[in-house]
Amino acid sequence: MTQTDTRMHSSPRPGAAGPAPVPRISAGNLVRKQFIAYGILPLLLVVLIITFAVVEPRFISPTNIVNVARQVSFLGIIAIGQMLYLITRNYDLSNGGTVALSSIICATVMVSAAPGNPGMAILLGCLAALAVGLAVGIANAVLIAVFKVNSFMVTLGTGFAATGVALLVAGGIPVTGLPPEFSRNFGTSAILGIPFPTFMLILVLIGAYVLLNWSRLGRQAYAVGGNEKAAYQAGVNVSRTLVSVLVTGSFLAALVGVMITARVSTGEANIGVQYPMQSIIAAVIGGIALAGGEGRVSGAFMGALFIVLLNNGMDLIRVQGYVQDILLGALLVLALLVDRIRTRVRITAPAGTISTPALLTTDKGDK
Amino acid sequence: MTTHIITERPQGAARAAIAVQGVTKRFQGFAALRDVSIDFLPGQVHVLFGENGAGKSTLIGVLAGIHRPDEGTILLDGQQVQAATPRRARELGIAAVFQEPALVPQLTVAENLALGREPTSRGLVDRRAGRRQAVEALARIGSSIPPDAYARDLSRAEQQILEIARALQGEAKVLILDEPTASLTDNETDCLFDVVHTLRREGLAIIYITHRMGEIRRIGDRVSVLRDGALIRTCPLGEVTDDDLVTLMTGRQVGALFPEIPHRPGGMALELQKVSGAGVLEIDLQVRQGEVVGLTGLVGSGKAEIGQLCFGLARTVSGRIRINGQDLGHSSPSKRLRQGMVYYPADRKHDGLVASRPARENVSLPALDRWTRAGFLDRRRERLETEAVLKRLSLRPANPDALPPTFSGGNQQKIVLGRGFTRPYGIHIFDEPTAGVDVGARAEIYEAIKELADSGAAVLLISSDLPEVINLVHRAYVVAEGRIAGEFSGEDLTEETLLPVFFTQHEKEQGA
Repeated sequence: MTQTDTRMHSSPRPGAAGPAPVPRISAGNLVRKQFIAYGILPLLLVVLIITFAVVEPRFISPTNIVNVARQVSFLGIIAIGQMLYLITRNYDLSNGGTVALSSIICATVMVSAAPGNPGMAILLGCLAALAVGLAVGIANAVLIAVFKVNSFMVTLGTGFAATGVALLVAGGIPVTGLPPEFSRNFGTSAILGIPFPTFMLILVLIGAYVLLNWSRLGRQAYAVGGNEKAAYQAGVNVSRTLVSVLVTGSFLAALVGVMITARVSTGEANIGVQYPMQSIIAAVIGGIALAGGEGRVSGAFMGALFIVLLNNGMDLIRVQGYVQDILLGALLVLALLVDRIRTRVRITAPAGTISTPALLTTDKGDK
Repeated sequence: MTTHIITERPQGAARAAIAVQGVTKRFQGFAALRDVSIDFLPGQVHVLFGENGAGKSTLIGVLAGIHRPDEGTILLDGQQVQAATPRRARELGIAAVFQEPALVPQLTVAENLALGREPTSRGLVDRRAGRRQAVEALARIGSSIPPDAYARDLSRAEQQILEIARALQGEAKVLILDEPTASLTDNETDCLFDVVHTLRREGLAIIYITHRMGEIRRIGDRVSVLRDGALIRTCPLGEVTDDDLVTLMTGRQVGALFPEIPHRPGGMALELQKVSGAGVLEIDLQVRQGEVVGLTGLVGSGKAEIGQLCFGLARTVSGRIRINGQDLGHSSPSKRLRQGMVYYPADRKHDGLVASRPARENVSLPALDRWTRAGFLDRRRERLETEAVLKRLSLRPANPDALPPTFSGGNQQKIVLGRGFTRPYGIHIFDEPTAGVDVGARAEIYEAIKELADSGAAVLLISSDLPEVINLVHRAYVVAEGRIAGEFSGEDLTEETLLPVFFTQHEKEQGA
């Protein structure tokens, strides 16, 4: 109310006026637009980094930065997979089980197949593990898209089953004795100075960005998640869209299973337990709407980065694990609260006043 | 939330039950209301009239405690009040019933009425007292809705009446009704009007928003016309003609509402032969290229179902649907779109628009393959072409990046309508295209329909709005009880000839 808008004095009849008055770019406007696009996450990240850097200088040491980069790779890719589910208005509670099963299958195939030919063993192991992702994804997608079963229950079930199969195959113990080349090439190596997992993360982020923003499938995925009925009536093949997107989501979980197996050089059935919840938290903090149809790749990544930084920083200053959980839980609730406010600002503001990329308005709205 | 009543100056407007004086409300700099002053008198129905975006919703929002005015005052019985929350407004005696039903379908009528203020005895809900109060509340407005019925089983009119009963619990002096008849049939509207008349006799000030011209005369005593957030005129209804009202509302002359569409029928575009499906029986229907054909009848007559069958949203049990002579069989909407048929659903919010995606993407969705090469979108061309379509339909505000819920009903309809202009479709099926759409946008939608017909497309217009059907179409079918009960064209296209056919019953029809 401090500044009277110039548009008030324009022609009384909308549409009859000349060129639209160009709104001035004020700092407040910019902050507002950022808030609407990303919520408070960027701000939280900056605060978090500065705080830890001041309290504990080791936080910004090169070693720790590489460490964080590696840790965020796993959760980052998982969060992107979760995001693909959430965008279409589904949950993925099976990504933990998928990570576990793909790790066990990867390791088991590698130690038993093609003895004497580590290259072939590694290839077969990876393929088998990725096939696990496809299988879980297809099972989820068919149950969700074709039989219309609630995704929460479907993925809870397939996740449990996958973990069970992993434990059964491995007999409840870690699978060891993998070819050393596997870990050397895909776990601890670096490409252009970037740790291999981080390199994979970058590829996945780019791929997901292109998929969601520049492909027809991505556009249809957002539409299906936003309003399935409307998408169907607009000619979108809903089942095909769901199957493509959900299978990709589970495939990413299996990819992480392979990456972790390479990192620790062991197949483990208990490595994915924390992922379903952590990835949902990361996505939601990153502004991906549980109601579907909305969310950015950058948001999911920042959400994952936030969780990793928080855990890493608190580890460094020796905060107890339990306390970390309390803080993370509180922050999740805070993020959801802010998300509600953000949605309200977005929906209730008159159409002319807010737009994502630019303000191009000639008229006032009334709602 | 802090609220306070300021009881300073019991001045001039003592006659008004409620009055706004010099009220201005801005949203991020936009003045949605500008210096509006209106007195609402007790025992009168005061109609608020104006296009979508004129400020009606904002005004009732201010009265009902949803919006806080930036300037100006609200006087209740001559006393300045501030209703900072909807709850506070209700306590002050301002009852409001909004368009969106706010009932819990799984609860009974009595439970809905008691919701949030359940009478208790010894800490437990006293169901018997609740029921007694419900009976009283319903009797007060002269309604005979059974208190034990479930809300989900009520008709739309009964739900509206229940909402009114709920809003009026406690001491109400003012009742605000926001387009209460938008989804009601004529009979249901009559029921609702009876209730409104009862309340008027009791001395309530009733503020009534509607887009329907016919209703204003039936129910209103006074009218205030708003345009662009400013009050244009307040006067008794006797002092203005319908044409005056439209001129005041739009700032331009009437007459141009329905364009003349030249009738140049071409080849057969859409043909239904003895089509039966859920709710409809043996439908024969034909639409030629360049023709606008109406499909009208009561709500629930089956006319909407015929549109759904045509677009593949419901299953054809028997009979044939042909597009350009080609049998459709059981195909999905996506296939029918590719065959050149486009359908604009009546329920924009649930069936038409994806609320979380910008207007632009909602327009381009059915035609994405137009801009897709090897799965990837040419976003620049998509943007240019959809923006051109929305500009042509004069979307207001002209912001293709805004989300659908931020637009008025008429402009939301333009977004849905934009889909038909991204590529040349041969057959356009409209289901109630102007429901909840103001007169200005209405004229633009009719103009778009004319443009389609002129270009040789076949248009099937499913509508309950008789003036619209009579003035726009070349030919019209009337549907009654799931069957085609009559076909009219030329001289026969009048309200007097069509309306009786609405009530055709099966038995009588056998002979005809």
